[in-house]
Amino acid sequence: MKGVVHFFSREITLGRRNRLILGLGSMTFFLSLILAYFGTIQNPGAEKGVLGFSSFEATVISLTALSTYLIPIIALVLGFDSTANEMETGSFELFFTYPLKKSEIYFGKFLGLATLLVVSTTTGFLVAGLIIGWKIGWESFGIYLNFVLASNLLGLTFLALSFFFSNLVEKRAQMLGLNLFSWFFFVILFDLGLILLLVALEGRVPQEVASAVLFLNPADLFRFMSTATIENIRNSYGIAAVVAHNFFSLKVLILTLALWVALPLCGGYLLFKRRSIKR
Amino acid sequence: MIEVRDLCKSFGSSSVLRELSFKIERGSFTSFIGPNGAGKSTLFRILLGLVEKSRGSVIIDGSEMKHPGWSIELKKRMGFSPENLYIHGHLTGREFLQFVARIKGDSFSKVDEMLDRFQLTLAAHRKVATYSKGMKQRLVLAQALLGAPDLLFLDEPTGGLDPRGTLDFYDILGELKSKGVTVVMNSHFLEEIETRMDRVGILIGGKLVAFSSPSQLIQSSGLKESITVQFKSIEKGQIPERFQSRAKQLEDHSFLISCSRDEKLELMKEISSRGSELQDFQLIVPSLSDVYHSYLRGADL
Repeated sequence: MKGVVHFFSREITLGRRNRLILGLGSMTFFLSLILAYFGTIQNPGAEKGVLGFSSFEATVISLTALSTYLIPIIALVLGFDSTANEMETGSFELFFTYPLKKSEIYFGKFLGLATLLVVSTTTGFLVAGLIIGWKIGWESFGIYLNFVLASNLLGLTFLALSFFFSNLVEKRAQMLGLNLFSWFFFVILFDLGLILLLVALEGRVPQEVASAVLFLNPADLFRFMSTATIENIRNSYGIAAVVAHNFFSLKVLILTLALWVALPLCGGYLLFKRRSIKR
Repeated sequence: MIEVRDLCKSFGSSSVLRELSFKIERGSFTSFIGPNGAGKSTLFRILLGLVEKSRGSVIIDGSEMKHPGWSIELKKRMGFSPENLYIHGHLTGREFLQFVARIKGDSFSKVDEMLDRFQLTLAAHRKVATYSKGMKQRLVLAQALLGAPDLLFLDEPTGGLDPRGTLDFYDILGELKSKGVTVVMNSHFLEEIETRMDRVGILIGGKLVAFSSPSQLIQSSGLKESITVQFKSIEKGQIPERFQSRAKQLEDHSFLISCSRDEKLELMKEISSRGSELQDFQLIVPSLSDVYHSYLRGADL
């Protein structure tokens, strides 16, 4: 499995050169600070109507709302761009003639990109968290760390999904379309559709079933996980979170998100293994 | 040895390769020529195990290719230089070759040797994005030679090279020939391959219309040699009678006369014996390019 290491190193070098780590890290750092300072006025734990760093609870609630939209699209674009570029530039054509297993190429690339994503987002969030903690104290820092972990799992899930969708089709435009649709579906459409369904069924769906359905959406799982350690979430974060928190522990949420990483990643590999050069 | 039997490839209803059969001996140099869309690249991709064949068989040294391609052991013996490869611009030339060397189990000293052989040492530390087309082509050729392959597939290897780079490349190929490396190429540069290839395959419309040595292709083509003669004044009468119908006036004092190989000396003797004021003459021998174009004309392309 030396090939995994070679492709992992290559992705890291490329990510370092094109300033991906720096860009993503800076973005998460500044967004965290800006949201923590300006965006927490209405959140639990914040002093109403006063600007400034208030609490990790308030910060995490704001960041969760933003990350649900932002991290999936970053991860999807990262995975799509990498796969589409290798395909279009003829790199796969060359790699497939090297004495390597396809699994070494596929998993080496995923591990490299995953490391870039995790290192950049963790660094950005953590540095911002340290500044916030320095200002307001470390009492609820664990809540923030839980959010960082959840963000990473969300990023990895959507990176794995991008590996799956990018190997499902052949053309760059199709890859882009599928990846964008998956973002639209999981981040926006899924919850909207579920709410409409629940309203249409006029409460005839048991709570257990409703919350189980939410497990089909990694974006919802992320929301639940990142706020799972906040006590007064019930008052501020919607019915879905309340339902999920009632039924599922943090461990279950972590395990389910990990499955959301593993399943599309393995599915993508089966597609990649069958991939041949069509040009 | 590479043996291809009744190889067919279709994409949907479009037939790209039609019942190709040929053998490539170990240590020989073979080039496929043909117009764009003739199926050369598809044939290459099938030989490399990148594209699945529709029918027929491909056998290398006794191993028949099975889906999804060649074994790791066989791939270790192969080198491939694609026609169009856009190496990631953020890597330097040396980093790219080191990446390939690690995969192929070659040493970094071989990387330096390749950089030197392909005159890239001075640019080795630069990002590939700053390379010219010719430099990128040399880099792609260099990576194909890493791992000391004994079977090389080169798709349009001299496409982006300047004349000096082309000569250097063929010098390197000459060294590989002495080491017994088998080379399979696609090329549009017929003058380059005529004197350097042991076998040439002409692919037209997915069919292998000819597969032989360049000299045999020329001999069997039926194309005649011709002579251009230039006199001091225009006088068709100076040309022997039996050649007059085959003489075509080119410019003021020149005629192009078609003749067979055997007639060539006879023609020159007769012209000189008539005391014609011959200024100059030139023997025109059919080339691989003439043969190729005659096949194209035959195929009405």
